[in-house]
Amino acid sequence: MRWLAAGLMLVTLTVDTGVARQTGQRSVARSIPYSVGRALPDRSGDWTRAAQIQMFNPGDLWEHINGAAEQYLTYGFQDLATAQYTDRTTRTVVVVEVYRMAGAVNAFGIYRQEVSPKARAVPLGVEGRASSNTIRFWTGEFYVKLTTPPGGGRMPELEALGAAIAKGLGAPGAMPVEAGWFPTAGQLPDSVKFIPADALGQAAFANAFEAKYENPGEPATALVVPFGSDKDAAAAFARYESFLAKARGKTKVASPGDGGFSATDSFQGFILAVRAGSRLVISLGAPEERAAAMVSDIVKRLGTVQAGQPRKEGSW
Amino acid sequence: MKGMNRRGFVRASAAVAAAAMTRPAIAAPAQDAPDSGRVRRFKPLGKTGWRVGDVSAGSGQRDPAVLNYIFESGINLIDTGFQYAGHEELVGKVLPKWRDKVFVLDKWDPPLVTATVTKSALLEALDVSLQRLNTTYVDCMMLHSIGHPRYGGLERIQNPAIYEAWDEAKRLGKVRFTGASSHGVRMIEDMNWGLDNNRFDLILIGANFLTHGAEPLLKKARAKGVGTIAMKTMTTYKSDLNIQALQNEQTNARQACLKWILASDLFDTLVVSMPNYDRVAEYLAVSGTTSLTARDERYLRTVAAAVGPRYCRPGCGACHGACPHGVPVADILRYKMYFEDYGEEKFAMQRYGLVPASTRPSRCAGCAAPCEAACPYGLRVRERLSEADRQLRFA
Repeated sequence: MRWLAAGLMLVTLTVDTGVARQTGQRSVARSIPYSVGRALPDRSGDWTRAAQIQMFNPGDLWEHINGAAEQYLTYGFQDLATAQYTDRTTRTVVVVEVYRMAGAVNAFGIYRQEVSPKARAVPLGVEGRASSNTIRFWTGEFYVKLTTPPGGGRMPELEALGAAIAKGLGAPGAMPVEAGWFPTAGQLPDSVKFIPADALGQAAFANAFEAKYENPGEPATALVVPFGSDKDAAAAFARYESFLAKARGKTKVASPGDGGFSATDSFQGFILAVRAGSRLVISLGAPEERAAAMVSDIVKRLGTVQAGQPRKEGSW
Repeated sequence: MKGMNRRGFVRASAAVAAAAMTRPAIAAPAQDAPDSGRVRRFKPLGKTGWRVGDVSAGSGQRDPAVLNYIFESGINLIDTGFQYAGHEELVGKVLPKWRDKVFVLDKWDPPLVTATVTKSALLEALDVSLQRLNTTYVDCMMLHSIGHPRYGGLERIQNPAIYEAWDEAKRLGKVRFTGASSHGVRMIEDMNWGLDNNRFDLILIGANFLTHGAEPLLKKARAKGVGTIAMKTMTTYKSDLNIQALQNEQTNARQACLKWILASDLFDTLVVSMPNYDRVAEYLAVSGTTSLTARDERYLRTVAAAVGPRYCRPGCGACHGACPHGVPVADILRYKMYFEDYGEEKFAMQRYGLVPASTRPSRCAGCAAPCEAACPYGLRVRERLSEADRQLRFA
């Protein structure tokens, strides 16, 4: 009877979704989280999808992407659907990977972590870019990668496949509002990033956002680290300050926000760090005056651009 | 490559012993430093001539300052790879300052290395990695994830193009040493092939206090002067032992796992993910360990109790031959693993289909299960064999 039930389950899955399931020792019978069948069309131009769509979960992602898995887990990976498309004439293969993340911010985060800002922009999802053999984009809570072998070419057709997949994944959404925390003047393109953990190597600095700015030599960095409460932020800030005990020229500053300190670190350069309520605002590597202006500007923006509010047009 | 011209480098690469002599100052100056936040023990890394710290850095950093701090702490081997999204580039931001003091272990993208990949494609990929790493050479270029059914069988690493590419890269001064990494189900078989055919200078394998089956492989590597590096030292994939029984004692448990490797004389070093300063300090605190305390062993027992009951150790084979009915226990459990954990259902079923009906686990019912008695890890072998039979005979 169990054999029959299991057999029926397998047949049902194959017929309904085309998904060959990764049972995995940690999830014997997971539900399909969204319609991968609809998101991954059977055909697109000359490309035909293989019947098998493989699913991976946080417990077995490393079987698919090995050493990269830990980073995806940190970014809030939920599950992955991957399939191959083949051109029957040329036998060229495209590997499609649809990563479902914990939310749109997480999809944005892993996309920005992986994509090269030098790659060509493509109109897919909220933002997308194409390199010589890979297209990456994010839409809603999904991060999507389409890869052909090196020298595979055929990028227009790959873009068309990407567009079909993006359509199947629903409304794309918009850039995270937190991007509006950072002034745009002098900001390097695509440099706003979401850092889910260990920002600046501090174990307590999670869910941070950073932006890079033009600067002689290395770009300067502006960072905002949110906390659950003023008290938590103050505790993390005190720890960060003690971590920088050996930095040169440590000076207390009274404002902006609730004040903080400045110091010069041998690796990061000039650091200006303040607390503004439950958030820390830190500038690294910018000259003193510019750092002060930038931190003041960000503290002001924190008061007007709240996470979760729609972003004003033009502020990004 | 500061301090050594191209010709000198080629000569050094051609003769490992000579390399050892011409690069004597490669251990970090921190050697034997009393500071507890530094590497406290260095060992020869196989026959490479490099004296490597017992604790080395895996990936996981997101901030170049952390990596710089890691190197300042005397850690002198960094494990990276094409596949570790953005990590090669991050290493490249710091590496120029440390190039002669740090051993860079890099890896090709696993899907690139196939039975048909060409020498030129491999060399092209190497150049991409060198550009990302901001260097003209890597100390070791590895095959990533051999012994992993997803990427192919043994034929994958028997492709002569790989060895032609390695030879060419060495000739060009882009690679000093070569090797392979694995924590896959065929880790031991594929690593053995590489060692038997003298293909590897270094091996990087999944090893921890639960994976005793790799000892013969490690001894063979030792005998051949091949450097041995442990990864996945905490049994779980993610470098967090998220085990409820440990509650707030994860730090002690993680350190105990590392100490088990450090106390073994089969490894030259271990690599562990170091995402933040706290973890760097936590791991450096156990550098120099040569034995386990009773407290460490208690932590390991707790981890083993949580992880061990389902963990069929790669390369163990203690149950081999224990079955009175001739059931190939280890093989069938491996097919079950292909099916359950590797998504290789079809492959697993095909392999199971080759097991003669007379030696399938259908005979397990009513058996006294000497296989379970033979298992040194107390796995419920009979139950798992019966599960495997139900799963795999769908074919």
